[in-house]
Amino acid sequence: MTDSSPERSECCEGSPEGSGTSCTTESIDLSCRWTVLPLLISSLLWLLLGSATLALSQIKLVAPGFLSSYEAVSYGRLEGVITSAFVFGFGLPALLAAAAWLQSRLGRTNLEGAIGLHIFGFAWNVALVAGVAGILTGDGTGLVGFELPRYATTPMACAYVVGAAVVLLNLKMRQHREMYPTQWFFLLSVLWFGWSFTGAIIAQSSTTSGLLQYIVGLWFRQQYLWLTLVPGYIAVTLYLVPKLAKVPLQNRSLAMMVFWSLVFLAPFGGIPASAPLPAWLVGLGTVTPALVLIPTLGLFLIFKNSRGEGQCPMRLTSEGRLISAATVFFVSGVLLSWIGTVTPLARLVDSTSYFKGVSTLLILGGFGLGIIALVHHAVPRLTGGAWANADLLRAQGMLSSVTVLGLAVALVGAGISQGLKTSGSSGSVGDLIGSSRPFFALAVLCALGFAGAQLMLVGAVFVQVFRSLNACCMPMISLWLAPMGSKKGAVRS
Amino acid sequence: MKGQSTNQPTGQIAGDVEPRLEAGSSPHVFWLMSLFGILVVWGDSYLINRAADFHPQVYTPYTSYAEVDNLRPKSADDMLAVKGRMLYGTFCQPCHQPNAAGVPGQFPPLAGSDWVSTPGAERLIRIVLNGLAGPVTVNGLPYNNAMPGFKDSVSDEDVAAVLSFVRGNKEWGNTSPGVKPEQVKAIRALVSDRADQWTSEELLKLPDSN
Amino acid sequence: MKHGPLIVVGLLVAAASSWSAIILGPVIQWNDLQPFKDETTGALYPARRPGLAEQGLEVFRSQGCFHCHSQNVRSAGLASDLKQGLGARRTVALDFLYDSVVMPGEVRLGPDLANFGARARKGQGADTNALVSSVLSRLYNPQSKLPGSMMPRYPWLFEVRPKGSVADPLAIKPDNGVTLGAGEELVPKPEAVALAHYLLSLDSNVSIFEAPIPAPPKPNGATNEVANAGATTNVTSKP
Repeated sequence: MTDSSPERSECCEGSPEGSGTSCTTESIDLSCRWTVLPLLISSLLWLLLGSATLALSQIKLVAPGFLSSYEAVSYGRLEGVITSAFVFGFGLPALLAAAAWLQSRLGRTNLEGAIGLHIFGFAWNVALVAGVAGILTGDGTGLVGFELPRYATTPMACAYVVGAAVVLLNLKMRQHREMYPTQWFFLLSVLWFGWSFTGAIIAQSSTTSGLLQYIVGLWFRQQYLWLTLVPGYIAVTLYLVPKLAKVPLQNRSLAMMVFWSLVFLAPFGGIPASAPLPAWLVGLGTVTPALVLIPTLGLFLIFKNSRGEGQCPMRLTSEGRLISAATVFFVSGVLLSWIGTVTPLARLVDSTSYFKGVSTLLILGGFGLGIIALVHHAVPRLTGGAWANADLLRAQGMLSSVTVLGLAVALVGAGISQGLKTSGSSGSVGDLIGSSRPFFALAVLCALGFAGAQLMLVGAVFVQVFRSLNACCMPMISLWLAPMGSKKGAVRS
Repeated sequence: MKGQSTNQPTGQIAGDVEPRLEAGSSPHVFWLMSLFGILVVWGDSYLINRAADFHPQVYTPYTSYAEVDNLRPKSADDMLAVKGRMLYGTFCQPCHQPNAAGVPGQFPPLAGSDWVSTPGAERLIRIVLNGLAGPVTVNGLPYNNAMPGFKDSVSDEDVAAVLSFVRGNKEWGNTSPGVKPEQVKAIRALVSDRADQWTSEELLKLPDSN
Repeated sequence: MKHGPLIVVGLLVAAASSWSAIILGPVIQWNDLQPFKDETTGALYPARRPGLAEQGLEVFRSQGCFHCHSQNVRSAGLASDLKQGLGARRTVALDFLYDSVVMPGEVRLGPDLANFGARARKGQGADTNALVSSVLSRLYNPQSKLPGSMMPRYPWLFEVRPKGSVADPLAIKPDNGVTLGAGEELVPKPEAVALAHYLLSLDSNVSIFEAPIPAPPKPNGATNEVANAGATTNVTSKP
């Protein structure tokens, strides 16, 4: 480290909690650069792949003859790939990357044990590719939302333990004992996913009863959505909003309320109202969506109060707009998921595409836009320079938000129209097809648009990385390449 | 390791200050806790009313084990009627419809039908065994179709069950007495060499009191 | 919140309670879930699927059919499935007792399949070649049954094979640009036949304890039995 004073570099090397002065932001960002950036890039690539696959699957609903002679891209198999790409390909690596960087920043320590995150990134992605290939060739488990075969999920769980250990180790090494709320929520996500993932895999392996595996699948889906991705989104929101608005986060007690109510209320849901399960399980699944309105309302209040009174409005920066959109989508998703369990509407939208629209709002709208906002914010800091083209970023953010909104509208609309056609006493499948087709067509357009937006972002990130490589490495490389003893070699220093 | 030339990224983003947490309490917490209390009370009462004491054998729409137990068929007649309902669903429902109203002009109704509510069931047993083809008048309306016979697919008990169900289903306004398997057996023996469907004229020649 | 370990303890309590409620609870409750025994006939429900149908279950999972087709008749309080004739009663956990993969499905872009076998067979006992053929032809070309259907074709479940001296009873008429040579026929692969048998085995129209099919209410004063006692012997002569 050539530009840090000696005192700072000493304290930055694994300093014990609560001692000495903090590390500089530059050194923290530098320590995170080559671990967080690759993870973010790989997760964005999976997001791109997932949205392209989503577009293809919706095309197949509108035009079933498209690519219909290829087994690997049949609709049934693509659906498994889509959820795996969004949750396991995009969601978890982005979560760990965000946790590693924000934890280092907030804990004021350099990132230690980065090799663990490299191992995680590599092993996780290799196993995930094998798993997705397995789904495409027919090895899907048959559990909606958890279709990766066991030969993929087992190495993924091992890789995850390594990555999670790095993040938790860094949390332990924080400079100040009092944790900022973002750190609470990342602690929650990282731990909870580790427990639920390994628990789900062990439960799957230890029973051949399909019924119990079905319940494990439902439970795990709830955990990874509500206790992993949603807290990740909340963590990013609680960091970005007060930081961009330059006001303190309002406030500690509300944040604690959101945290503990989420932890104790959300894990009990996930059972659909129509599931072939006893009344008590279905009852739990109906009560929970109402109860999780509490942490959602709390989060919304924090967001509203921490936006400041106009000195630094959110709309000034692309990440500010994105995180505001993410919050609106998240709250709408939670409201829609509750409304879909209230009896008159439940009769209409059960077993339709409605709940796919709800999870689009939560996963792509809330968590997805939150991570994209974080990427907009983090990459310049990690690469040591501002974005080359801020307008491109703004356009990317706008395109992402609009296309996610369109996707959600398409799927929720398709669900409602399907319900209207089939909930009478003569449910004709032909009517259902006709009424949903325009919505599926809209979904195709929006999925393609979202994929395009992520392509823009990946491109912009690569450009940024090359610029920083250029800045850091080109002088050194030119120095090596210059002939010894020549004028050039003497001039450059 | 920062770049030196002016075209390269030049270092830390200005004004990068980590967010702070405002300590203390918020009035919103009180309102949220109250809402939380209300929702917990609602959720509790929902589960008390609908979760049937967490019994694994109670499914919606039932709300207690006793309710489900009550609906268990208790007598042989009840079991026969249940069987009849399911046989109707399998064999008869596609044409005569779930509500037994038939399809106007195509399939005659069984609900409130004069053919079904005759005192005796001989004609009906023959229709179920061999089928009915050609014009027939039911409740004053003409129908002209071909109903297949089921004598090779169902047993005497099955015919008795489905006819007892159809004739006695109060939901459809049918209150006629049921049919016994022995009756079916006797008629089956009587018409065992007949392969064709019946016609309405042939059946109307039979007395309707049997 | 300063103490990481205390927070972890809180999280662990919450995670453990949700695990206990939603996973351990059913494990304990269903530890000895037994099939339902019909008191009159002594038949057990559900019966284990015959071997070919069990293989078909795996094909159903592998092709991802459950992403469009549910196998779940919903209760009258939630939906009009029973009125639409999708089944005689709602689907319950017992219906999947012996299945190694349970796929009730969550989206219904195509018809519900819970009683597909019952509807297709209409009481016929055995899976005749005609029945299996009709299922296979719908797999090969779904648009033939319902033009405009969203269901994709499944041509990879069929193959062109040389014809023997007798045509295969399950041979399909090709279309969509597939031309057969002189001595060739288009036949289903074993997976397709297994899938067809699985679909034909889907029948849950049995009254069980959890989802009883109630007996119809009795007419006023009368029982379900025949009113005149002498009717059993009163048979007229042949017409």
